Amino acid sequence: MQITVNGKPETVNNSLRLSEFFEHQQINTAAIAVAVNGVVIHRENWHEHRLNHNDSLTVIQAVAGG
Amino acid sequence: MLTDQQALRYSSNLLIDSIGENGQQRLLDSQVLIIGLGGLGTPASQYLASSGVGQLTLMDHDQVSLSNLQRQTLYGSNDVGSLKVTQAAQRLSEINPDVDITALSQAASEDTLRDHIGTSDIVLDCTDNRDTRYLINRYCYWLNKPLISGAARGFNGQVLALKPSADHGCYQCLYPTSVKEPLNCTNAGIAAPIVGIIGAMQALLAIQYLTQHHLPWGRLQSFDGLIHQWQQAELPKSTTCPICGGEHANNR
Repeated sequence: MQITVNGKPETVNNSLRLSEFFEHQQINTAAIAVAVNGVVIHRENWHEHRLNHNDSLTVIQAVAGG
Repeated sequence: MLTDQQALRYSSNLLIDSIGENGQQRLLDSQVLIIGLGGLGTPASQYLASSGVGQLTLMDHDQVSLSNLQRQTLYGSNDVGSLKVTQAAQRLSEINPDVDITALSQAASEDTLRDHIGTSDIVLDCTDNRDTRYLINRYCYWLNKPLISGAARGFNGQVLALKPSADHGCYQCLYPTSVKEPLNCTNAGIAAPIVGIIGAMQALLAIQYLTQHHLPWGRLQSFDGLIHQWQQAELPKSTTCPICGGEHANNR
């Protein structure tokens, strides 16, 4: 199925879980927040949240400086 | 009732229908706490002072260093070694003597936050580290005070308006304490205009709140300065958040 990640199209397995997506893509999750279709998915739900065709993922790097 | 001098000074605010004389009077009657007078706090405080926020409380324990001058626009070369809040208070008074400025050369701690968040109308988190951000978030939720959180690194900036009485998540829902960010402004660098943009956004949100406009509460706004794009994400409450969610939510 097709999804977008920060606006870029990606092809991924059907019903992929968010946690599996990060593993597949080798994304370092230590300091990120992620939103699916504009809503933040909390870290504790990554292992159960399944992605759908045409989902739009936003991966946001945590920043704390000022 | 505005004086003639105030009507002139704030004429650009008065000309905006959505501020006007009522909004200006609200700004003059307001008190804002700015925690951190670095890259975010200096532009935010400049806009709030020039706009006529009546009382500004500045909290920062740090001194101006040479490496701050790249982005911390209230300070000059002669300020190196001086307390940031002292220098900032002086500059802001020069910009607008209408503003009553309290300069607190103290670190944000449980005691200082408890004392000063409660008396403010709104709080700006302009600090540079996550531990202080958690503490400010906790006390704003405990004292039910709106919080405008800004942060930046490299070419990235983020801003988030939080209203503790609303249904959205809090700062710790977005970044739970398990999130480990290896880099900050000191060791990762920061493009100066990014903190200017985010600090100005924090001032804008505060002015909107104080003049009784709707804010994008609980919506993270994230700016990538390399590609000039904003991204937005709604932040729901985390049911496991120790501050705002679920059965363990704190001491309200």
